[in-house]
Amino acid sequence: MARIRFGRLGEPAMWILVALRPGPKTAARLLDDVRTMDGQIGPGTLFGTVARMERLALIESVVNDEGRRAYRLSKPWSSDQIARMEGLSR
Amino acid sequence: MSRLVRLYPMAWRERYEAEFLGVLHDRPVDRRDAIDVVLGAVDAHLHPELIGAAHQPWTHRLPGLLATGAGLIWTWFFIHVLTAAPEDEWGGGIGFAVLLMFMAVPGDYLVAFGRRIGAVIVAIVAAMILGRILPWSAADGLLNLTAGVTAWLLVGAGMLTLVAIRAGIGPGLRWLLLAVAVLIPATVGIPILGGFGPGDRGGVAAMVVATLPYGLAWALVGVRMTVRGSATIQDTPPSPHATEVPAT
Repeated sequence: MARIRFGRLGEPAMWILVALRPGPKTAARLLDDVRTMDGQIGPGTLFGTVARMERLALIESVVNDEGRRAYRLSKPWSSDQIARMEGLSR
Repeated sequence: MSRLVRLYPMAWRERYEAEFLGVLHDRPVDRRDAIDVVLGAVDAHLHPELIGAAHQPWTHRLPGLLATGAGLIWTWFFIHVLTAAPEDEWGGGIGFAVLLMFMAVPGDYLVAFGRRIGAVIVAIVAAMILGRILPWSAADGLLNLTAGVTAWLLVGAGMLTLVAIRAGIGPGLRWLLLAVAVLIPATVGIPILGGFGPGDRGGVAAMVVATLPYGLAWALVGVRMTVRGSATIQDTPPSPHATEVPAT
């Protein structure tokens, strides 16, 4: 598999991890929460980051009680995933 | 705003479009968000591996970059001609742009067969040096004009068609591109051009009208091909079962 790079999306990825810590959230809710914490990120940035995090299995999608797709932290994290998460902040 | 989602690759849209539209519909979206969506679409094209598609090697971006470069050089050159340059400076820029156009069509075939192609280039350069040494010159007049117009309509349009096919542009849009970039400008520009003598500024302006859309078309197709990626002509050998044409 090709190497996934976060580049400028490393910081939004960190905020998404923080926002998902309490539990699963839809993309719309996730955008609102990250904006509350981090300021203005756009929809393109959100989905670009979510796609990378899904691909790396840092987060996973589930269907919530309302039948909508939501995202949650995947668990348990392997040591490889922890290393990837640490790599986001570099 | 929701139309901007169409800029994303099809595989990406199949996975995220519904959620994406939900996000856009639920809240006010400003100009900065629109720019963010466009940048996100470029990112999605540059990283197809994010949605499980095959990773694009850098050589698949090469044809698009060459086409973009060719289009920009072509466009810049004719603007330069219109504003300042005397006719004796016409040769170099156009020659270089056409060279890049030829290089853009076969893709990273150029990389895979660099040594053989290099040998051909050496032969061409040798022939050009011989051409400088030997005392011959091209015939002037009607023959030259006919050859030029024919080359323009057949080779120029053909090259643009080939590169548009490689960029994944469908037949309808491709014909529109040809009409706007080649057929209409040539139809309008060449007859006007015929009414001017050598060195007339009006003739230069007509030349620019006839040729500028061509360069812009190459630049646009090149950007699309760079973003989408385009494999070498050898990567997709024709299958004997895939080439069947349905009877009409």
